[in-house]
Amino acid sequence: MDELRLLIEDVKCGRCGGCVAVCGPNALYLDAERLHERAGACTACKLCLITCPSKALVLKDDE
Amino acid sequence: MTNEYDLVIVGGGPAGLSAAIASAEGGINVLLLERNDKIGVPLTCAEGITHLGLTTAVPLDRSFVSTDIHGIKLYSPGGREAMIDHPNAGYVLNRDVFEPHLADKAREAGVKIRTGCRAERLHRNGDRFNSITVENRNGSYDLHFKVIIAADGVESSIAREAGLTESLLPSQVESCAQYRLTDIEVNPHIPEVWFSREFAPGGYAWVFPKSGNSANVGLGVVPTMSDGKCPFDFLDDFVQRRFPNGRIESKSMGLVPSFEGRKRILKNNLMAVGDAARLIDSLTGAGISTALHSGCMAGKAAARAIKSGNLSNLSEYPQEFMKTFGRKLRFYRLGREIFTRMSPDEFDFVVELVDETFGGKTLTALNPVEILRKILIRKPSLVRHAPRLLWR
Repeated sequence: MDELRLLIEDVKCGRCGGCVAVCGPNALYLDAERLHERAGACTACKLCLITCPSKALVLKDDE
Repeated sequence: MTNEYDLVIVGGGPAGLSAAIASAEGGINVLLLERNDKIGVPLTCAEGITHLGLTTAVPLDRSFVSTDIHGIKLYSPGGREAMIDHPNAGYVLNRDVFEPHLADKAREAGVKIRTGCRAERLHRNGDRFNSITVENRNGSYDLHFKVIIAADGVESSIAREAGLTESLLPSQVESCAQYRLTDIEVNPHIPEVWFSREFAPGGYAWVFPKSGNSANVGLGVVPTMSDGKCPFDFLDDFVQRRFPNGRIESKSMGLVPSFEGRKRILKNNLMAVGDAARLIDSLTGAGISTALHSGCMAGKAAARAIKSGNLSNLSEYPQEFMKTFGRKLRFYRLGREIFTRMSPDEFDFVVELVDETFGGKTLTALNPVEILRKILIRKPSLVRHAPRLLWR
């Protein structure tokens, strides 16, 4: 089963789309309520972590 | 409910709404999809726009203006200050009123608006894009169109799926954090810009007044220059220094890309507008005006092309946009290259020069390109920060 690699802290996320814009494999998307990860798509490159203005993303491996 | 439209617009920000109004007024049937449940939220910018940038695209209505801008004050890292006095320079908007106002105008023009809808997948038939899968809380369905406009912001999934844009690199963007601060004292008509590598590496901090006691206070940083600190860490330091007794009413955030030229604007029957096409003033991060104008131009081009039955006429949009804004936006992008590499001493020089040039004068017009040109003439060594300038 494809696993999710990111922890998304909804309380911190401002849904600005910054992480989506820098995500090479298009592993993230926004809907009306929150940010989501597409299972199995994340390559753990961490560009979203570097770019997020509010540290709303954490890689599970780094937890 | 019909699922066939002449034009589908993905995104209900200033660019998408402006495209919707212009295209519907051109006599075609238009559907606008907005991912969020409400038009105008969440806020992702400082809400500033110049007088010309706004009024050449949208008739001024006081209901969506927080305050008028009559100049700007600059602060350098070494403590220099410069005041540019420019009555009627622009406005700080209420985006949560402005965009619903545009949505009302769009509906009056005949546009159908569906909120809470996410564009999930783009489909093509040969060279042409012809339908899109849309998801909402009840499931998914397909929409068919002749032309599609991507107005879904810097993260545009539609423009990326079409191969019009690619993912950005953190070194190419400004990551921005902002608070709405209240219980502060500011000049309600004079925004402040603070240059400092200490609290805004690669960017600057801003104070855009909403009134005499509240403001959008934020900053942008280049993520690769920020040494692991996130923008809100920098913003807390700045707020502590400038408004130690301010109260945080709300917070917002966003990403500012750099202008990348006309290659991101049109592909077959798909046009991108606003942030989705990276049509932005890369130097200041201002994007509402280019969003409104690109949307309007794309909407008009779509209506003309569809009514004439010749979709190759869509190329009028990039031609008109680049003719009007291309040179200026390219110059701002080079300005950004210089700006992100300037030393504190160079910022001191620039702010001093601005004070020497504009201090004590009341301006009736201000051309940022001319200011940048003046700065480069007086300090040619700055050009070393942007080698591409030397080639031109």
